[in-house]
Amino acid sequence: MEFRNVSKSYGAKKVFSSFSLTIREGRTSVITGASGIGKTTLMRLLLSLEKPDSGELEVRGRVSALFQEDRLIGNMSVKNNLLLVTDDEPMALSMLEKAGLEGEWKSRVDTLSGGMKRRVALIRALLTSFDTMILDEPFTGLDDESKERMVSLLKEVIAGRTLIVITHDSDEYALLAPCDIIRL
Amino acid sequence: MSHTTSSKLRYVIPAIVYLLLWEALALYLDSRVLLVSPVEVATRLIELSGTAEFWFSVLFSIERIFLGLIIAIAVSFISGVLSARFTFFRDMIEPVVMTMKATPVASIVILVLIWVSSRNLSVVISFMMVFPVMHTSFYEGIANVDISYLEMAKVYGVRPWKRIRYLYLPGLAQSFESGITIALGLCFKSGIAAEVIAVPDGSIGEKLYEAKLYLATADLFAWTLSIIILAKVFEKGLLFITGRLIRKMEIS
Repeated sequence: MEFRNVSKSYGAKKVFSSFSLTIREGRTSVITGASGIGKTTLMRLLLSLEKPDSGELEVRGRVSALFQEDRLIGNMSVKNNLLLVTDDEPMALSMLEKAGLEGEWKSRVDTLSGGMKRRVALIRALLTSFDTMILDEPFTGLDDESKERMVSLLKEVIAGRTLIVITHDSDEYALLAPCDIIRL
Repeated sequence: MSHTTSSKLRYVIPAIVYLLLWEALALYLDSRVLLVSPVEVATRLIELSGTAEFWFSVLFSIERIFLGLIIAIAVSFISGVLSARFTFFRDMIEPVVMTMKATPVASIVILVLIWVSSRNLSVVISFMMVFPVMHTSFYEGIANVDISYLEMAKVYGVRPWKRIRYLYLPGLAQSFESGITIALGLCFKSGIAAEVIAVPDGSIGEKLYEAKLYLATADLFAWTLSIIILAKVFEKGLLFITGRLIRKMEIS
């Protein structure tokens, strides 16, 4: 994955100016940097949700992501939120179990705690088909035990594919090791 | 006092107060032409409902108003979807909808009477009253789907039928629920008003017209009450079905 001299502005606000970056395939890369530096914009460009104003962007294969906001449908069950992206019900149930949420299959999402919602959102992203997965602040609101569970699940599902994690929390680098650290 | 009892009393007490005021005013005026008492209205309604003619008139009017309502829901669903999908279609249909909303019912009735027979007038009027309301409801139901969900669906490659089922239908059902309450009231009121102007044989409108002609105030009140009851029954029925559908879509 490569950004070559990419520029991107929102009105008068310039986010990237002749920005270049190479992300190695089949590895885990952690992208970090101060708030507002353009981490989420970078993700939106990789997902083709935004177009660069100029420059070239090379993305190979199918890219999926976990957004910074959960984007779960609050008035629907966990089951419906997960089956939105897959027909593989046993796989969805198995991931839910590994995340410690086996009793929440039929719960309405808006009755779950923030940490539980984050885990469901991460599971939903992992259930999609992808060659590259981008996770924007994936462990926000998770306690240490849940974080470890989710990292373990993440490593199992990613299995040699490209993983890009956007985070501002340096403690998470160790959890995701081995990984390349990219500071914006 | 239990919560249910106190919430029931909230409706019962004002109803009793207004019925007593009505009774007192009828006694004070002492004129069966100016105002009949609630007891006389209830008695007359019971008398009327024991006749085949009453039910024939009810059926005559209901089937036409309901037909107009169903056609309007179907057409407004299609136009709402097309408006949300195609800007050109929305720009074309919007002036039509605005005109239909702003035009007085009486003007539409007189114009439509030139086009169709008085027997089927209430079908057209019901349609014309319901269509703009439901078109706006359906359009907003689709246009207001959260953009962040649509982005999520795009990134996750959510299949079209699942997008419809999980992202669009719940919003549409809720828009339908809010729109139909207004639309039902409108189509019953305007449908009957149209019948009063066109006086088709055997309709509720004809009965109201005759009540006016013969100064039969008790009949006027009894027929009006029957229209209110019918509109409420339809509203409750449709809202019950829609509510169940929404709940089924949320948790299943």
